[in-house]
Amino acid sequence: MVSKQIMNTEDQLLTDIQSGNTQAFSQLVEKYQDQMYSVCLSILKTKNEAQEATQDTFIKIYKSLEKYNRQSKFSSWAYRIAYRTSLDYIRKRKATIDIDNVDHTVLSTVQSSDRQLEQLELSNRLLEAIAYLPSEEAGLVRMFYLEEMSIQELMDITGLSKSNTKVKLFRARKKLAEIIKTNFSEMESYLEMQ
Amino acid sequence: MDSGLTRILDYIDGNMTAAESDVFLQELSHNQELNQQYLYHLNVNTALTKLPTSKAPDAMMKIIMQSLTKPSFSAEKYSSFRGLKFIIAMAFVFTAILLIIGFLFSSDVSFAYNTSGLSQYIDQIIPNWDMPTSSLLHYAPYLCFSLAIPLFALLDNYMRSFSFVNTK
Repeated sequence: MVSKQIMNTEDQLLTDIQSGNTQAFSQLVEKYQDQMYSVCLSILKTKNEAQEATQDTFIKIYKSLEKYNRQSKFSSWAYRIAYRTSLDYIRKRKATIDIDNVDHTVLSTVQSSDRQLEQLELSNRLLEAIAYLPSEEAGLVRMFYLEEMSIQELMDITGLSKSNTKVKLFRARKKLAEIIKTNFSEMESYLEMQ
Repeated sequence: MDSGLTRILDYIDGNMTAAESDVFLQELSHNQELNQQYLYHLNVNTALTKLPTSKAPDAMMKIIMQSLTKPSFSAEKYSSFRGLKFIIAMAFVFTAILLIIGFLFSSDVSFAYNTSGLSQYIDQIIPNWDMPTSSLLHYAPYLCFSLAIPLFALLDNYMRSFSFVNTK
C-alpha cells in the first residue's frame, strides 16, 4: 500500500518533470542524490570524480527522461545511468587511482552513543574494504546491498548476462570477505556484535 | 565457484528451496568449520545490508540545477529555429551596414560629398581609410556574412544563458 503510494508520488513527479517543471526535478535529485553518489563513489573511489559523475548522471536523467518507459523501476533506470557514467569516467581516466588516494571515510561523525559510534566505525571500515575491490565489482556489491537488488535488476543495470552477473557478484563478495579477514581483522569483533 | 561459499551465500540470500535449506542446516549442525564460515559470512552480510548511503556534497543540488537552467552551446538548443532566424537576420543586417559604410566612404563615391562634415571627421580619425581595392573586395559581402554568423551565434548563446527553464 505504502510502496504503491510512493510509486504514485514518483509517477506524478516524473510527469511534472516531463512537462518542464524543474522544481519537481529538484525533488527527484533530493530523493536519489545520496544513492547515486554512493554507487559512483564505490566505483570511482574519489569524492571529486564521484561528485562530477553524479552530476552528469542527473543531467543525463533529465535530458533522457522521455526515453524512460516506466515499465522498469525508476531507481533501476537511474542506477543504470550512474553505473555506466562512472565506468565511462574510468575509461577516460589517464592514470589509475592509487589505493592510498582513495577517499575512505565518507560517513558523518555527528553521532552520539557508543553503539552508534561503533556502528559508524564499522560502516567506515566496510566502505574502506569495498574500496579495495576493483571498480566494477565495488559498484555491484554496493548496489546489491544498498537496494537489496535482485540478480535480474543487476542484469538490467549492468547489461551483463545472468551467469556473468552471478559470477561477478559471487567473486566480489568472496573477495570482500577475504579483504575483511586479511586487512581488517579488528572488524571481526564489531561484526559479531551485529 | 567455491561450492561451500556458494551454498552459504545462497542460503543467506534465500535462494534455496525448503529441501535444500533442510540439508544445509543439518550439515551446519555437524560441520564446525562450515558453521564458523557461515556465521562469518552472515555477519559480513548483515553489516553490509545495514551500510548507509554516503552523503552527497551539499553543493551538488545547486550545481545540477544551475547546469539545467544554463543551456550549453549545442545544435539541439536550436530545434525551434527561433535562434537560427535571429542569427541569420542579424548577420544580414550587420553585413548590409558594413557594405553601406564601405560604399559611402569608398574613393569611387566619396568625391560626391567630400566636403561633408562626417567624411572630414572620418578622414581625421582614420587617415587614408578606404575600401580594399584588391580582388578581395568582390568577396567582401560573403566575408562579412560568414564572420557575422558566428558572432551573432555567440551573442544569441550568451543571451540564452539569461533565459530560465520553465519553473512553474
